[in-house]
Amino acid sequence: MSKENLKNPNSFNLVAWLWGLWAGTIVFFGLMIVADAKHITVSREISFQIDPTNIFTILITVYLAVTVLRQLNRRDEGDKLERDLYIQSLRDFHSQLTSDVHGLTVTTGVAGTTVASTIKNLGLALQETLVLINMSPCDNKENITLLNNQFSKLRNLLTYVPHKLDTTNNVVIKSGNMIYSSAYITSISRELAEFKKILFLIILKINRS
Amino acid sequence: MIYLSVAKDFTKTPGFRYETQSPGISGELFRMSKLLVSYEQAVKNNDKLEVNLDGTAGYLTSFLEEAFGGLQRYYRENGDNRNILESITIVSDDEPHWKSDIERYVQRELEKSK
Repeated sequence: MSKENLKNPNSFNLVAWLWGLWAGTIVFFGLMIVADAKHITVSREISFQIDPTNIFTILITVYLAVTVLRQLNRRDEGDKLERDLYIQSLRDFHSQLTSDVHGLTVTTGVAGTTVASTIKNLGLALQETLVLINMSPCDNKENITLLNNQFSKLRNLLTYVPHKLDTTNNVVIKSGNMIYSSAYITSISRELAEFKKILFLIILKINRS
Repeated sequence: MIYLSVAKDFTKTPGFRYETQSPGISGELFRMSKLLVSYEQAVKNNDKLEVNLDGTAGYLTSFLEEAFGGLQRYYRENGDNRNILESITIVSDDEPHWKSDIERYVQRELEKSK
C-alpha cells in the first residue's frame, strides 16, 4: 500500500498505467510479427480471421479494466485501513480508561495525588483521541460532546473530596488515600458504563462509514 | 498583572481540600497562604491576578473548589458580595475545563449571597 494512496485513495497511478500501455504495445507488435499475414489457422475444419488490431483493442480494454479494478481495490483497502486505525485508537483509550478507573477504585484506597494525576492523564489521552476521531470521514460531533460531558461526570465523581459538612461517607480520606464506599463505586461504574456506551456508538458509526 | 503559578509558587502535586487531609499541599493552605495574599495585593493596586494551573500532576476537584470557591465564601461570610473573578484570570491550557469549573464554584457561592 503506497503512502500516496493512503493520502489520496482516489489518486490514479499514472506510472503503472504507462507501463501497462507500453506492455500492451509490445504485445501488439509481437502479435503482428507472429501472425505475419492476417490469417491464423486454428484447425483443418475451422479457420477464421483474427485481426491483430482487434486483439490489441481487446488487450488494452482488458488491461484498463484490470487497472481500474486494482485502483478501486486499493482505495477500498485504504479506506478500511483508515477506519481500522480510528477504531484502534478508540479501543486503546477504552482499555486505558477501564484499567485506570479500576485501579482507582480498589478497596484499600489510592493516594489523592495519584487519583489527580491519573485523571489528568486520562483527560489528555481522551483529547488526543478525539482530535483523531474528528479527522474521520463521518460526523461524530454530537457523540464527542456527549463523551466529553460524560468524562466530566466521571472525573467529578473520582476527584470529589467531601466538605466538612458532608456526612455521607461516600469518600473517606485515610492516611492520604481516597477510599470510596461500595455504593459510590457503583455510581462510578454506572457512569463508566455510560461512557463506554457512547464510545461504542462512535466505533459503530466509524465502522459503518 | 500579578502572576501566581500553582506549580511554581506552591506545589506540583496539589492535594486534598483540607490541611488535615494533606498537610502542606491542600487547597485550604493554597487559598490562605497564596491566593488570598496575591488577590488582595492585586485589588489594592487596582491590578489583576493571573493564576496559572498548568504544570502540576493534576488536581482533585475539591482542591480548586476549596481554593476559589473557598475564597468567594470567605468574602461572602464577611458580608462582602464581590465577585473575585472580576480581578482573577485563570490560565489552564493543560486542562481547559478547570476554567469553567472554577467559574461554576464561584458562581455557586455568589448565588448563596443573594
